[in-house]
Formats: sequence, C-alpha cells, structure tokens
Amino acid sequence: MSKMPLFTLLNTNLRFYFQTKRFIVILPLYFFITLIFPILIIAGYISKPLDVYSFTSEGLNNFSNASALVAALFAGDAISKDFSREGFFTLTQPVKRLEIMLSRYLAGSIVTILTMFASYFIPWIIFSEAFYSSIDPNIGEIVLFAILFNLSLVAFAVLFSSLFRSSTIGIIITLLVIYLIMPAVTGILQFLGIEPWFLLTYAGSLIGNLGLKDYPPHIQTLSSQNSKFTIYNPYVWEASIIMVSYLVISLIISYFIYTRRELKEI
Amino acid sequence: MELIADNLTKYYGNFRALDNVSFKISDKGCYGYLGPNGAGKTTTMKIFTSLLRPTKGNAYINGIDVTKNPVESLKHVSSLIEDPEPYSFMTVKEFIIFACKIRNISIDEKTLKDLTERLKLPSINTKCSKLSKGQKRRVFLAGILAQDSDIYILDEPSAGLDPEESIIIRNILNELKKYKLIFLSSHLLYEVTQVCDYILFLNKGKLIEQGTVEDISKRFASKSLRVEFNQPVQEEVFKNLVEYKLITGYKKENDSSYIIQYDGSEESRKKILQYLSNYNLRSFYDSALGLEEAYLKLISGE
Repeated sequence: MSKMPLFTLLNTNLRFYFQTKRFIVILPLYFFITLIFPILIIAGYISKPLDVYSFTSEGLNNFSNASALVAALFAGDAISKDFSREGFFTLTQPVKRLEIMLSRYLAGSIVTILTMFASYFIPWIIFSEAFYSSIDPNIGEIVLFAILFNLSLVAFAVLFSSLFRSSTIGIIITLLVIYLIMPAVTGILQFLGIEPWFLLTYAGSLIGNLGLKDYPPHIQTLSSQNSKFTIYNPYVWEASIIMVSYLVISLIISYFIYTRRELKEI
Repeated sequence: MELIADNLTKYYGNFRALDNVSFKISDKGCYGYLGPNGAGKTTTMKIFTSLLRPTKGNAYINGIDVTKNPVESLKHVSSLIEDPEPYSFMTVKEFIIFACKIRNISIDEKTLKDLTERLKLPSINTKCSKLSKGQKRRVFLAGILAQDSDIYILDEPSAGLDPEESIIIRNILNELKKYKLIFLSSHLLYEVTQVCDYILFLNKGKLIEQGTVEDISKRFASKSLRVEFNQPVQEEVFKNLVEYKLITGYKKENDSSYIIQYDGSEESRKKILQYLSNYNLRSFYDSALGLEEAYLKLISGE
C-alpha cells in the first residue's frame, strides 16, 4: 500500500493537465491578452496610466474573470472524469477517495495558479518595472489574495464537477456560473443597493482594489444627472471570509458527494 | 484468498439487479461467474470492487467488509471491470509503473519485459491513446498483473477481442490461476470451459446453480441419451414415448438420430431401449450436453 498515494496521484494529475490542449492553448492565449494593454501604451494608442497603482489596478480588473475561466477549465472535470473508462482503474485501487479528490483539487489549483502567474502577474510586474521603474508596493498582498481566490475558485469548480457525470457539462456549467451568472448577480444586486456578500466574484473584486494607492471605501455612491448608483467594495476581512468559506464548504460538499457516488454505468 | 457474498441485493430504482446472492469462493483457482446479459454479473463485481454499494447484504474480501472498509479490502484485489482503459496520456511503460506505484510496489525492467512479452504488448514507449481496443485491454491487464494481487476480479476479460488476443489472455489466466484466485465473469462458454474450474450461474439477479465444470456438465448430461438407428425413424415413435411418459422430450438431429430427455433412472433407461430396439437401433449413449446446454437449461428455468 502506498504510503503517499496522494503525491503519486498529484504528480499524475499534474502531468495530465500539463499535456492537455487546454493548457497548451490557454497559457499563450492569456499571455497574449495580457500583452495587449502594455503594447497599446507603447504604440501610443492609449495613454499610460498616471502611476504604477493605476496601471496595476487597471490590469487586475479582469483578473477574477480570467481566473474563473482557467479554474473552470482545469477543475470543472476533476470528479466527473471518473465517469470514463479510466475511472475504472482509479476507483478500484486501495486509495481513499479523499486522497483522489484532494490530488485533483491540488493539481487543478497548481495549474490554475501557475497559468495566472505565468501569463498575468509576471508580465505585468515586468511592464510595471519598465514603465514606472517600480512595482505596486501592495504586490505581496495582491499575490496572496490572488492565490486564495484561485484556490476558492478551483474548489467551487470541483464542487460542480462532482454534480455532473459528463466532464464537458461540468466545465460548461462551472463556466456559466462563475463567469456569467455570478458577475451578473453581483451587478444586479449592486444596482439594487444590496451588498452581494455571499458571492465569490464580489470577494474577488478585492484583488483589483488592492492595486489602488488607497483602498476604496466600503460603500461608494456614484451619481449622474438623474440617478445614483451604489458600489460595494468588500472589506479585506470580509473578502477573506467569503473566499475561505467557498473553499472549505465546496470541498466538504464535494467530498460528501464523491464518497457516496457509485459507478453504475458510464 | 477468499470472496464471500452474503445475501447481496442491489436495486437500481425499482429494478432488482441482484437478489440475495450468497456464495463463498476460496483458495487459488478460476471461478467462473456465468449468466446472460443483465443477469447481475457486473453489478456483483462492482460491489466487490467498491464501485457500487449493495442495497442489502455484504461483500467480503479476505474477511474484510468491502463497503465498510474499501481501502483495506481492495489491497488484496486487482480488477478489470466493464471496458476499462489505461490513462491515455501515459505510455504503456508509464501506465504499468503507475499501476505499481499507486500500491507502493516497485517493478524492475525484467518483470516489465516479461509482461510485455507474455501479453505481446506494443512498444512500451507508445502512448496509450494510440493503441487499439485490444491493445489497451492488454496494457490494462499488464498493469493489474504487475500489481501481483492475491485476487483478480475480471469482468468479461476477452469481450471485444480478436481470437489471437483472446488466446493470449486465456493462456495468462491459465497460468495465473495456479497461484491466485480469479473470479471471472463471462457469457463466452468456451472461455469458461477452457479456464474455469468452478462455475456459479446467475440469472435475473439470482444465483441458480454452482459447482465444478465437470459436475454441472454431468448433472445436466446424465438425463439425455443420443439414439441412432440404421434406418430413418419417424417422429411418431418418440411422440409415443412421450405419451407413455417414458421420456420427457426429444430433439431430432436427423432422420436416424435423436436426442431424448428422460428422468435419468436406470429403470426408465432400460424400458426406453427395449422399446427402441424394435426400430433397428444402431447405438445409444449418454448425450454430452455439456456446459452449453446446462447453461441454456438453467437460464430458461428448466
């Protein structure tokens, strides 16, 4: 009996993800998308933000959506892939399902975080240095919360993958929920003046805010000629609780479903 | 080495796939689990490999309850259930090594080479995604054989393979059963007679018969006689025998050869032969109905 089947499985899952078309396509694609904004600045099509804070914040605005896409792609099939012919090998080995699930969760998290760092943070830091001869002093906090946010997103994606038998459906539903539904609900609630304190994407807006020189107030009211619009910015502690809650609750529910799941037919 | 099914019952919704199945098989050898499609063979095997939970009853592997302690029980078992495939992103060699590593077993080059030769595997550096169905099946089998478990649970291991591949697998099983317990499901009777020593018949979720291949074949063959005549004999003769209740049925092979079923007693046998001797009887002998007819009789409920 393996003393460390978790690491054997983790290693295998990582190798699997690194060889997938998803990884081979998404990494250069994201890298290219990240380069667009700095290249437009260099080419003179848009003006350079005033300081490194604005530059960082601008870049991080889309971070949560981009992370959601990557997390869904790399963890949306974490559990559902057992409903394939390959599942008959994995599930008949003397390994706890908790270890199988954790190995996939960790593999999905590592690949998601690596993708986001390699294609997002690292180029952004290089351009900050090139444009402003400095990087955002909050970069440590930003990176820390970006990792926590990605860990939560992947856990949430694992939860959806445990609900469906088809890998493709698992990935698509996860994408719809975190890429479209959650941001849409966040927008609607903000519009209605309700704080979306229960949504992970709301917590994710912390990362962009951390890039700013001064963290924005919890409630901001924007007014135009005819109407007022309230924007909620999560407190750091509040966003942390939301992210950790999503991570823990998603993994517990996934584990509960996974250990009870039967392989009736594929 | 022991597998025990204790009143195993499994429902899929309202459908009863297994109905109080109980058996105990122990010691090395090959145990065939025979039944038509939908009889509940795969369901039983999935319960023994922790892929399904029984609705009622228990499955034990070497005395360990599979449902209560799957990890401990599965340490003794390697399995091939339904139509499994090795991981497509791995090479043949990587999959076999992974199959061992997951159980903390190391495999040396000599064993790997031996497996490759015995199973006639393709080049060990070939990606599994590039293999044919039969090759994938053999690579999967190589992976579980490398695990060197006490017990092998194999669900129709030759299904969908060409004759050459089936022979390779049959030879492996004949070798393996000398040291291991093999629990093998099949509806290929020829495969079972070639490999198995003991048979359990399953039909509509119920275990209906069990015994050694010879015992079962004899039991069902002993009530049949093949009678051959020197000249054509009309069916009326046999209809009369049925009417006189000397035989229970008959099957015409050709105009001068029939197989008859009777109660198996010596007295009836004498009376039948006495009667048929009036029709220029050439020969008579116990009809070796064999496993195939035993199987057909069992599943038809005769």
